[in-house]
Amino acid sequence: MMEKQNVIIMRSHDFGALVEHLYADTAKEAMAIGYYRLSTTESSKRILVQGLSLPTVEDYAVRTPSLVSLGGEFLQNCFDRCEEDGLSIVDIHTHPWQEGARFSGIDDNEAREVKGPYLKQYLPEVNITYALFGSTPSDLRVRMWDSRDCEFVNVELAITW
Amino acid sequence: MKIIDTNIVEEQGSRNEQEQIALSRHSEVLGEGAQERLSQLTIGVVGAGGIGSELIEKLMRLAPKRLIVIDDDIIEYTNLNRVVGSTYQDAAESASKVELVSRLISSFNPAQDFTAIKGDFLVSEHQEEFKACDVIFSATDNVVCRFATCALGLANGSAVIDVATGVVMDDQTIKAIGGQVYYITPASGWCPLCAGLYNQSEVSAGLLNPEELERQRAQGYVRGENIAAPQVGALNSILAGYAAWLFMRMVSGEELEFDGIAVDALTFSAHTWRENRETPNQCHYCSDDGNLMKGDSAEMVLRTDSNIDSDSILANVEEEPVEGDVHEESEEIDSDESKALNLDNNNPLHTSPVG
Repeated sequence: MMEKQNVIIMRSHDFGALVEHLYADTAKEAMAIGYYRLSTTESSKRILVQGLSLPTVEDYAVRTPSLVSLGGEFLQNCFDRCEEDGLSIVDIHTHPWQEGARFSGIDDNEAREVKGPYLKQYLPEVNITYALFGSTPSDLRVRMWDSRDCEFVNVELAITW
Repeated sequence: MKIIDTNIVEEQGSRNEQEQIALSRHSEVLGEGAQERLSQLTIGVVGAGGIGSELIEKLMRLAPKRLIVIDDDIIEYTNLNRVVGSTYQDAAESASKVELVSRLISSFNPAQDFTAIKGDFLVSEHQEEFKACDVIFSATDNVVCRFATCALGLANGSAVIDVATGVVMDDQTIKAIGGQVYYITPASGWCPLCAGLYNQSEVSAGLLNPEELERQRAQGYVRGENIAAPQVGALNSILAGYAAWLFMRMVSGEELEFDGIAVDALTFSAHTWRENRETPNQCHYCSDDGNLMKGDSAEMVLRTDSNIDSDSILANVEEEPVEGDVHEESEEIDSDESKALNLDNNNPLHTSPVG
């Protein structure tokens, strides 16, 4: 049985802009939204990031050293773009205080109980992938949400061009 | 190129002692962690002839995660001066080039994960296999296949490294001999078609209709299938070496300040070059408005009738055969069928949506 591999791919100018945004103020967690299309084979899924929406200070609903969430209007605009262009969402946030980034229980719960069911009900064509940056930009964890089996699927590699 | 290992569970000691020793001599050159990153990459090679076999010989020794190779050709006596690992017995038995590749890789490292496809790259099922590649080497003398490789890479977020050699003869005299390596990534902002490396007629000529073949012969060009052109194994080695070295530098994370390398073997010289990007770029293949990074919704560059080829898939892993591929007699593609690639005003190549 062939081993499967999932990869997220970004262009370097997107990755640079993302890192600059996320690490502008490391005293607080930060967020961003990416948009992607999939390239799928039997042995792989490639998450092809097409662009980003970077929130301003006003776009956050909550932003503290250990908690972050985006406002409804900002998110609605992101979802509208997904629907219009046939894109899916990369939900990106940071744990600037953490070496070896790990998704928290709060992250798990929000993905399982809030975002997953919301998308399944209202935007069934939109997939969601979660990316978490730790204390440095190379400290990255990525996982896709499988809405059919209601489980996370690990993404093993990130490549920037 | 930057590669970040996003594994939650960090793998430790995944290589045995012999493998670590085997890779140790180039690991230092690549830089810290680069070998581990390289070993997570799936690498494709389109073409397993003179250049392709040289590439495979080098790439398998870098221990990638997986190798995928495609070629539809067989070994002939005229190949023996340059195809790595080929023997007189292979030529006598008309062994396929991918059989040779399989033997080469398996005998070097039975643990290497690879898939070798005997078939035409311009068939959708075969290109589907290559969608899994992080980097694809284009080592075929068919211009359409070379362009199709670029189009596939750009659509699926892969880098493509194109390698070619050429010899221009005039009355038994070498006028020019050398080659070129260039790379395209989703961030390059250009592709061979919009940069004019190939033009529309050249791409269609890649299917070698008889008139074009005759024209190429008359002009002394030495590219294209079925042309009994001069081929030099040593030149293939030089260009494949540059391509493999370019790949290693990419994996090491270096920002390359050039797009290609031109080698003049007549004067023993090489220089790098950079493509002038047009902005805004409205190319069908390499712009955001076109197929770039469109993944499953992108169009592939295919033959009009893409069910006319493919013989077998060889691999060291258990794999479901691609439907209609394995051990079926392939129909010969004659020159009339080869002309089936349509061109229209908007899209320079016939393309078929897949999904």
